[in-house]
Amino acid sequence: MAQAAGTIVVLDNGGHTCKAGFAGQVDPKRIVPNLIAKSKAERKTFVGDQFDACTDFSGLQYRLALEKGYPINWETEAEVWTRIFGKDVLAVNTADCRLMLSTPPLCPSSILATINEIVFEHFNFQSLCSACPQLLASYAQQAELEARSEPQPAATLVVDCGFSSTHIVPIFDAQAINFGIRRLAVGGKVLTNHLKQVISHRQWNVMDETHMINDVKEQMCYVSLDLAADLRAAAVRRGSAITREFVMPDYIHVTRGYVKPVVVDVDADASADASADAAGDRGGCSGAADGAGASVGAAGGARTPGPPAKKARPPDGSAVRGGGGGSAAGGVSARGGEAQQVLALGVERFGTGEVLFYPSDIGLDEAGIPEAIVQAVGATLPDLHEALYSNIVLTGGTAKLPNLAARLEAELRQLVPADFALNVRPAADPIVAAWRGASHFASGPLFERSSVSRDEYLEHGHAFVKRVCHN
Amino acid sequence: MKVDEGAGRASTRQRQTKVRALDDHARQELKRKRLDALEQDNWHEDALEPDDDDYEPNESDDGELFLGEQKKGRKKSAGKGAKKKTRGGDQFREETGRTKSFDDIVDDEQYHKFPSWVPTYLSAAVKPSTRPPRKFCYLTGLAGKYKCPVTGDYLGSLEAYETHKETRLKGMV
Repeated sequence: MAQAAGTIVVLDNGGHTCKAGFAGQVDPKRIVPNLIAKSKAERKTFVGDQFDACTDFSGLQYRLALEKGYPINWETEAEVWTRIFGKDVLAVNTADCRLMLSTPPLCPSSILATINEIVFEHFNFQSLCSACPQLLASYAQQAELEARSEPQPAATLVVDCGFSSTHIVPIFDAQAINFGIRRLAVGGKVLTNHLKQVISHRQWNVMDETHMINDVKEQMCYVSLDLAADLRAAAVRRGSAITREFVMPDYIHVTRGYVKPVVVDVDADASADASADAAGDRGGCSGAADGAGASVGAAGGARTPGPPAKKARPPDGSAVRGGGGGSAAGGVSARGGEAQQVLALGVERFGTGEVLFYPSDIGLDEAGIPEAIVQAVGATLPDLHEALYSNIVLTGGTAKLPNLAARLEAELRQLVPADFALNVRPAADPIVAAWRGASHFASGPLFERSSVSRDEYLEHGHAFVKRVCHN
Repeated sequence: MKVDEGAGRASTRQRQTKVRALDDHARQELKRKRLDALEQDNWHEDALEPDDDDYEPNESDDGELFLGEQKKGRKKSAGKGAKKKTRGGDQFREETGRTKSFDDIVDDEQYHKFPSWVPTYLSAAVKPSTRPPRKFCYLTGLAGKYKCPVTGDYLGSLEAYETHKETRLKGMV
């Protein structure tokens, strides 16, 4: 509808990061944290992309632009967007640009109205086109298949494990089936905060170290493929095959925490060894590090006893179960004469991801992702069920948890009729999938038709924008 | 015999009521608070006050908290800083009249007046699971074998219960 011709700016406005770039390109120009961070140590405030210059992440305070995945804090958002459009990131004059923006599904109309006001009246964009990021992610998948000249799937079920929440959106005929959308209040943020609480309960008080715990989550957590076995392995009091140590950054010598390479216990019994290998492989993040740490010396030996008193491992190698076994204590370990503070994670490594599958673990009265998928598909027409199940796409930053897709498929298999094909595929790059789809869509022929120009907005108002962009 | 049993049961019940076991409502409330904490970002408006030491508490109700620490300058400022943070957060929300919270916006949309077939933010929420909740020790993350009679939390071992007594049960038993 819009007749204007200007540069098309593509913005995927996520809860944690805002992906910004230009239409037609493969990747966003920059991924900008969608927040204002305040550093106590440096006594500075970082807005959006300035965050990259931050070096001391201790005691950072965040003000996020989005609450529960919906843009609420417009003071923050406007500041971040100003930085994005400004000379440091995109360097565009917004009055000469058109905007492709992602807005969360089933967005309350007052929020949509505010978006319009900000886009048209504050930034003076020529036109606006908005769509939900899950739909855009499905466009990305389409484009990918097109490029490989593979057949297009009949329907897509996008499972977007984002920062603020997990959205499940059935898509048919390039449109989201809005009565099938389901939302789970668990996302990366809840996982990080949960891990933060758990570690604070069990080891160090890290309630102020959101940034570091996010790092811990990204580097150490994985989704268990065999929960019972992993729990048994983690219950071993010492030298558990699952336990890995995370060296906490002190922001002087170490600016980014890392997982300590692990030497596999020689005297551990065979089953523990087997599960060690399995855990290493499944963990993904630490598997490669195994064996590289021969020079480090036995991790357990060098450590001074942590806060809770620990009993020595029985000589016969039998596992002592229960108690604080899973929660190995953090401690100070000496390495090369320098004191390092380490965080030992055992059961937490896979317990965190469990929340996605069983939100009841943290007291949330919602079904997990597998059941939520069944609920979402069940809300659509029966003819679509098989097509949806056979093409499930995982996107969003949390989808980067190792094994998420495999576990999801295994759990879904129990819930989905046996004669239905089941396919769970993570997107090529879960974080930028929606942006890529948006970029592809914005450079396609449909973009003009589904965007609203500034004049049209001024003439017809919010309802018109809603009709054009959100059907 | 039957009478005796009944009496015995009654007396144990009475003994139990002496310990202030939290009722369902209180447990729900605690659960809700914990869930809210998981949603929050940690922004406090006044936390970056450059002159922490010059800060004078203007709220009288704060006074008693820090009376004992008046002379220990270092500790005093730390304690006040912590208190001030929460104050600052509240102030920011109320005084600037800044955007409502997301929950308020959803309330204002009055989704309950919509016909049931119209998909809304609220109707999109995932329904509760059909499976019973799993029981994990909230301290160790292992199987929760025992249930705290007061708070209803699951615990995995005696060791965990000791910690539980010192933290969540503090001041209750």
